[in-house]
Amino acid sequence: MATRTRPAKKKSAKKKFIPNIVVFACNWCSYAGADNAGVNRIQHSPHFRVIRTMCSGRVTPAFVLKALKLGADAVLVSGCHFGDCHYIFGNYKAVEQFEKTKGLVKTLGLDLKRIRLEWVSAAEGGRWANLINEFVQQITELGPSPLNPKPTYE
Amino acid sequence: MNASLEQMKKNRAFLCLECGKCTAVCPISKVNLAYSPRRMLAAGLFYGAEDLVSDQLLWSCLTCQLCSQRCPVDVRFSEYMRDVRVYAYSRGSWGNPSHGGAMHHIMEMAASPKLKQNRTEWISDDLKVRQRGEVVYFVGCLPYYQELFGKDFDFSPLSIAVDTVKILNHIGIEPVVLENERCCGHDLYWLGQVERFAQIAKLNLDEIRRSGAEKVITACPECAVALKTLYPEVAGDNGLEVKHISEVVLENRHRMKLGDRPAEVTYQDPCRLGRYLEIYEQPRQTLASVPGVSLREMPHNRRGATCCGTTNWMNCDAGCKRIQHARLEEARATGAETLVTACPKCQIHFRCAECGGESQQVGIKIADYVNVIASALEA
Amino acid sequence: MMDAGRHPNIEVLTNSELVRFEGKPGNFTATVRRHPRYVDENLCTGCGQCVHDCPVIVPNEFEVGMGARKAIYSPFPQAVPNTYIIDRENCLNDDFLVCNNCMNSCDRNAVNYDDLGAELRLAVGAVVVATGFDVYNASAIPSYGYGLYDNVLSNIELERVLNASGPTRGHIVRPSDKKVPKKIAFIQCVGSRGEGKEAGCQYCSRYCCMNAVKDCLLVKQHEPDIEELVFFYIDMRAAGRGFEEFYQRSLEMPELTYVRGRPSKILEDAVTKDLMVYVEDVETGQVSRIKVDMAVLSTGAVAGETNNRLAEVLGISLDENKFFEVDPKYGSPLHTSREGVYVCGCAAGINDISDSVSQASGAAAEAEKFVTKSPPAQEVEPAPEMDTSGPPRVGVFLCHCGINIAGVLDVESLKEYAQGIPDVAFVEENLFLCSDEGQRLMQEKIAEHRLNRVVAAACTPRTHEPVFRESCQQIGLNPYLFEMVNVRDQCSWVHTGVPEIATAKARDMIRSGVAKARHLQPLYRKSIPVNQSALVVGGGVGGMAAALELEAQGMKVYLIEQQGRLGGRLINLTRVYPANLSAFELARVMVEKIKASRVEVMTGTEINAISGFVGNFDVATTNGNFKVGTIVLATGADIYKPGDEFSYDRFENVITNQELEDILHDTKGKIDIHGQTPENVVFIQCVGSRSSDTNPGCSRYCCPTTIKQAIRLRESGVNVAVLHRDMRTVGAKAEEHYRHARELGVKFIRFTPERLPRVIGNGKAAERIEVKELALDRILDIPADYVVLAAGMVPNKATTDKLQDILKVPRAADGFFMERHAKLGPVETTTEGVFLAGCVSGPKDIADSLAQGAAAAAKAAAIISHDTVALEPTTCVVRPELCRACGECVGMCDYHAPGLVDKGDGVQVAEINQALCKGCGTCASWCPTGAIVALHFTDEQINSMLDTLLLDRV
Repeated sequence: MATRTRPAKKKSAKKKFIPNIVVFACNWCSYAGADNAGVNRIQHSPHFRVIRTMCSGRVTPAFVLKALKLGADAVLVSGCHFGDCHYIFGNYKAVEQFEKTKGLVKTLGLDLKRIRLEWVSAAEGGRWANLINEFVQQITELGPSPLNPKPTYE
Repeated sequence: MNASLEQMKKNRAFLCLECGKCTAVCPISKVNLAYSPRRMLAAGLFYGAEDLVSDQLLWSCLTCQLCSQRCPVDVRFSEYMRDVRVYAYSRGSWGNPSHGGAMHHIMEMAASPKLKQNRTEWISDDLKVRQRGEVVYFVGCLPYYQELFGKDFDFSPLSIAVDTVKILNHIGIEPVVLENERCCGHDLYWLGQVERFAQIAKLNLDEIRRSGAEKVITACPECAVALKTLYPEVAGDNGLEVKHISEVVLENRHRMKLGDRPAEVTYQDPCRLGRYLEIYEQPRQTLASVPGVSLREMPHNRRGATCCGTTNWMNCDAGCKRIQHARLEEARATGAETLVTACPKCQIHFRCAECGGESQQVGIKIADYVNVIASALEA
Repeated sequence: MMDAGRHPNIEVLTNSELVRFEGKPGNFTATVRRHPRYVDENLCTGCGQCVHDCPVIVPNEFEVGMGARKAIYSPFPQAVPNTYIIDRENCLNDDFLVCNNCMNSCDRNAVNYDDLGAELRLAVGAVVVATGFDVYNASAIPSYGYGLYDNVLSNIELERVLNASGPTRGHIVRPSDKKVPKKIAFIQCVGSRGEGKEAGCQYCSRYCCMNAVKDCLLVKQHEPDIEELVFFYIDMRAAGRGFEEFYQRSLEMPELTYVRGRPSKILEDAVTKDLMVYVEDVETGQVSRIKVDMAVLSTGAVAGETNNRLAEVLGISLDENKFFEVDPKYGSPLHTSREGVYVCGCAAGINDISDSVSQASGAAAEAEKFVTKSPPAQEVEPAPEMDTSGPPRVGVFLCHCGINIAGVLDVESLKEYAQGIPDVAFVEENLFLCSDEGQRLMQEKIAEHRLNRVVAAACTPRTHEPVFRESCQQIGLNPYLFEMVNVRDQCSWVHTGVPEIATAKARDMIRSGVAKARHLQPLYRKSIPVNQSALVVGGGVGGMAAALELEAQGMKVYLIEQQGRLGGRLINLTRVYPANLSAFELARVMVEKIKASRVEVMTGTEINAISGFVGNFDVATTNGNFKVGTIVLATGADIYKPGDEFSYDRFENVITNQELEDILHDTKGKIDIHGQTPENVVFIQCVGSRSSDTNPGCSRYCCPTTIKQAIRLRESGVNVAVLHRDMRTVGAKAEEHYRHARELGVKFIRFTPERLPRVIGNGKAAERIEVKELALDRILDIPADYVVLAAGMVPNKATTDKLQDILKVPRAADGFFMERHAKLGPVETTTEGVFLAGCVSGPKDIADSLAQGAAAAAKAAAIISHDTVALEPTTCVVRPELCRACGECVGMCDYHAPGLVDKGDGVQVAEINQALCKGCGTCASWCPTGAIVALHFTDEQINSMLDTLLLDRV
C-alpha cells in the first residue's frame, strides 16, 4: 500500500467551524429541560435549533435523514428517561426508530457521531446545557458534514 | 404551454384515439376510480401540464407500461407522466412518499459527490469478490433495505446480494463490488428529478470505469433498466454490457450443479425486467431447470403481468394493497406454494401486503429468484 | 405541581397558614393567613431580573445550604407559582438601609415592600392534611459526626448533589477538598429503628433503604470511576412493588458491598479528612474499621415541626410520634379523629411515594363526600369563528418580556426580518405580550389585518400557550392556528453573552415558526357522552371500599363478585393490626353498608366480555348486560401454595400462615390447635417470595402478619421462633410490633437463601427444624409442634389472564397488573377509564387496599361525575384512503387507540379512537404510507420547519 503523507494541519490559518445542529426535543421532558436551563440561566452553546415534538417516538428515521440530506452537521433526538415517558413507552419506540436511523446513517458512510439519542428530564437544565455544549464541541471537532453545502466558519 | 406540447409530442400523446383501453387495463384505475390515464392525457391536452402539477394523482402512476402494451397507437403514457413530473417537481410539487420519504432522502443524498458509504459489510470471507476486474456486481439498494425493512419483515434483503455473489462464484466469476456504489437513481428519474439523476449516473459510471469493468451484472430489474437504458439517455453511450442475473444464469446453466429442490412455484414478472427489458423467459427457464421445481403460470403473465402495486416509494395506499392482494390471490390460485419474483421491491411490497389481521393475509410464500437458485447450488 | 397550578378547580395558596377552623363537615370555615410575599403574583412574569439585581447572597435552603440564593428568590426551579418572594430577614430594605434594587429592576412594578399579607376566610366542606414529614437531624447522633465532619452527608444532601441542576451540577465531590470520592459508606437507620440516647425514633422510616440503594446506582452512573460503595444496614426493607427486584439488581454491581451491621461510630482523620467507620459484620462476627472518603447517612423521617400547631387549629389528635393520628375504626389510613378532616401521605406516618399518591386520591374521595359541587363556570357565548380560508396571512408578535428578551435580542432587527418572511402580513412588538394590554393589542391586530395564522415569539409554550390560545379563541380565531416561538427560555436566557448570535438564532426560530404556522389547520375540541356509572370487579376489601366511595358520591355502581359472598379474604382473618380490629367485624360493617346502599351487588357473577372505551363500556356478565363509564379492578391475589417446600405436602403440622389464621379464627382466639395448645411454633418467612423460582418480589404483607401471629401465640405462652431473611416490618406501627414481639421473647433467627432451614420429621409430622445461626456459626436445633410458612402473594392467574384479555391492561413481569406509573399513578392503568385497587396490582395489606379502593373511586368519579368528556383535538387521525391496514399502529399503541375496522368486502381500515388517543404521534412515525396524521405535529409541518431551518439559512 502506498503511503501518503498528510499536509500538516494549518491550525492558525483555518477559522473555527460553527456546526449547524438540529434537535428534536419531546415536549414533556427534554423541551422542558431546555426551558429549565433557561430558568436557571445556564448558558450554553447557541449552535443548535430545536423542533418540538410531543414524544421522541414521533421522530422517524425520515426526519433525521432529511435533516442530514439538507446539510445539518448533526441531529440530536432527545426524550424522557426510561420510565419517565409521558406516554409510557414512547421513548422505547424512539430507540427502535433510532436503531434503524443509525443503520441507515452508517451505511450512508456518515459518521455515527453525527446523530445522537439522549434523555433529559424536565428538571435537568444543567444536563441539557452540558449535553448541548459537549455535542457542539464534538461536532466542531468533527468538522462539517460532507453533505453540508455551505459550512459556516467564525 | 410550450414545454407541455413538447412532452405531448415526444410521447405520442397527440395520437390518442380516446379509446380507453389504457384505463381499462390500468391497475391503479381498478382500485381508484378517480384515476384514468386517458383523462390525464386529455387534461394535459386541453389545459396543459400546469393542470396536472397540483394533482396528487400525477404521482400515482406506477409507470408499469401495461397501458402502453395495450395502446393501439403506442402512446407512451408512462414516459409522458415522467416528463410532466419533471415539470411538476421543478414547481415544488411532490407526491405522498412512503416511510416518511426515508428512501427518497437516501436517493437524493446519493447525488452528493462527497458521500463515502459503508455498504460492503455484508461480504463475508467465503464470498470471492475483487477490487478491480472485468465484471461488476451492481448491488443496488439492498444494504439500505436491510436497515429499513430487515427487522419488520421475515426476510433479509442482503441475502439476495450474498446469494448473487454465491451464484457468480459458482460459475467462476469473481465480481467487483463497489464500495461507493450509489443508488442507481431509477426512482429519481421517474419522479422527475433530472439533475440529481444525471449526477448519480455520472458518479456511478465513473466508479464502474475506475474498477476496469466492462460488464455489469445486477439482480435488481430497476438497476438493470437504469444502467442499460437510462444512463445512456443522460450520459451518452457508456459501452457497458449490462445483464440481469437471470441472463447470466441461463448462459452458464450448463456449468452449474443444481441439486434436487422439489417445489411448486409461480413467477412474478417485475415490470422493469419484463415490459422494459423484455426478459421473460430467462428466469422461467432457469427456475424450471432446477431439479424438482415445477413452474406454474398465473393467468396474467409476461407482457400482461400485473405490477406489484407500488413504485418509486410514492403514493402507496389502500388501493395498492388491493392490487397486491389480487396478485397474491392469483398466485395462490395456481396451486403454487411460493411466488418467486426477481425484484427485491416486489418482495417488499408483497410482504407488506401480508401484514395486518389474519383475514388480511393471502398466505403464500414469497421468495426472490436469486435465493431460489442459490439454495439449489451444490458444490 | 404544574397540573395543580393550572387546574381550573384548584386555587393554590402558597406561603399561607391555617389559623382558625370551625364548623361541621360540609360546612367548615377556614381562616387562612397569607404571609406577605412582597411580590404580586398577578404581575410577576417570572423573568428573574430582580434576582439578578439583588445584592444579597445567602445559603439556599433547597440546596440544603450547599448552594446560594439571593434575598429575592424563587424557592426552587420548578416552583409553582413561578413568582419570586422576598426573604425579609436578609433583605437590605429592612430597617435603615434602602436598597430598592429589585423594585427598580421590575418593569411591571410587581415588588411591594409594604405587602402585609392577608387573612382569608374560606368556606370549605372538608380538609385534607398533607403536610408531609421533616428530616431527622442527624447531628443528634454525635458519634456519626454529622455537622462536625465535612465529609459526612445526609441522604437529602446527596440527593441534591446527584441532581444535574443541583449545586455541583450532578458531580459527586466530597465537601472537604472537592475531589471525587473513591469510596463511600452508606449508613442506614440514622434516627430510625432505635431508642435510647442516640436513637431518634422507634419506627422504621421506610423510605431510606430503597432511597440509598437507588443512590448507590446513581452514584455509579454519575461517577463511573468510583471504586467502592459500602452499605451498612440491618434489614433490607425492599418491600414495595418491584423493590426487591431492584435490590437484587444492585447486588450484581461489583462496586457495591452490603455489610449487615450498624456502625458504632465514625472518626475523622484531622489531616486528610478521610473517615473511619467502626462496625461489626453481624453475619461473620468480624469487627472492622473501614476507611472511606465520604459517608452518607440515611436520615429517617420525623413528624413535621408544625404538626402540633396545625393539630390544635384543626382540633385533631396526634399520635405518640407527633404524626396525625389515624382513627383506627375505619381500618383505612385516611381518617383523622375529626370527621371531615382527612390525612394522607407522610403526615400520618411514613409512606413511600406510590402509597402517598394512593392515599392522596383516597383522601380526595373521602373529602368529596362533603363537597357540594361548585356550579359550572358561566358559559361564555363563543365568538363567531373567523374565516381563515385562503392563503396564509401570518401575524408575528414579538414580546420584549421587559428586558428579558429585548435586553439580549435585537427586537427591532427581528421585526424588520419577520416582515420579509413570505406570507407574513403583519409584525408587531410589545413590552409584555402576555399582559392584558398585550393580549388586547394582539386581538385587535388579528382582526384589523385579517390574520389567519399567529406566531408569538416570546417565552415557552409549556406555560404560556394556553394564555395565547384563549385570546385567539375569544375573538373567534381557532386557537390551533397559533404557534409559539420560545426566544426567551431557549434563546435570550441561555445565550445572553452572545447577543448577535442569539439574534441570528431567533431569526431562524421565528422563520421556522412561520413555516409551521403556514401549515397549521383549525382543530376543534370534541366531547363524547359519558355513562355516569361504574363497575367494580371484586367484592373484597379494595372493591367494597371503591364501591362505597363511589356510591357515597351519588354514582350508580355495579359490584361484581365471582364467589357467592362479599368480603373476600378479609372475612377469614382474625384481627387486623395495627389497631387490633376484628377483621370479621370490619368486613361485616362494610358488607352491611353495601347492602344498605344503592350499590347493585352481583355475587356469583363472572364477566364474559367488555367492549368500548372510557365513558362508554359495554359489560356482558353471566348475570346480564349493562353499560358503565368506568371500571375498577379489585380482584385481589392468591396465596402461594408451597407444594413440597419445607415438606408442606408431607407433614400435617407444616401449615401456611393463612391456615394458622383459619385455625385462630375458628377457635375464637383460643390458641388451640387440634385440641392442643402447642408448645413450640416456628415460622419460616419468604416462602414463595424473593425467589427467582417462584416470585422474585417481596410479598410485603407476610412479615407484619407473622409478627401479629407470633405475638398472639407468645402471649399464650407458646415458644415462638421466626426464621427470616430480613424482617420487613414497614407498615404503620409494624416496627413497634416487631419490637414488642422481641420484648415478649419471640426469637428471630436469620437465614440465607443459600442455606435454607431444614424441616425434620418422623415420617408423618414435623418434629424439629435445623437452621444455621449465622453469628454463632452453629446449627440450631429447634423443636417445632407446628411449622408456619409465611406464604407470599401471587397473581390470581385465571382471573388476571381473563381480564387482561378483555381489557388489554398490561401486566408486569411479576404477573400482577401494571400501574400507569410506578410512583405517580398507582391506581391508574394505561387503559383510560380502568383503575386498580388492592392486591390486583401487587401484594398489599388491608390499610393499603382500603386506601387504594378509595383512590380508585376518586379517579373513577373524576370521569363519571361529568356527563361528557372533552377531547383534546391534537390527536392522531387516519386518512382511510391511504391506510393499508398493515396493523403496525394497532400493535404499538400502549393506549389501544388504533384498531382495524372491517369496511365490508374484506376491506379493513385502521381507525384511531379519539377518546383514547393521547396524541404522542408515535404511530404516525410508524405508519408506512403516511396515512396517520399527528395533528398539530404533522409530517408536513415538521418537514417545512426542517426545510426552512436548513435551506433558508442566512
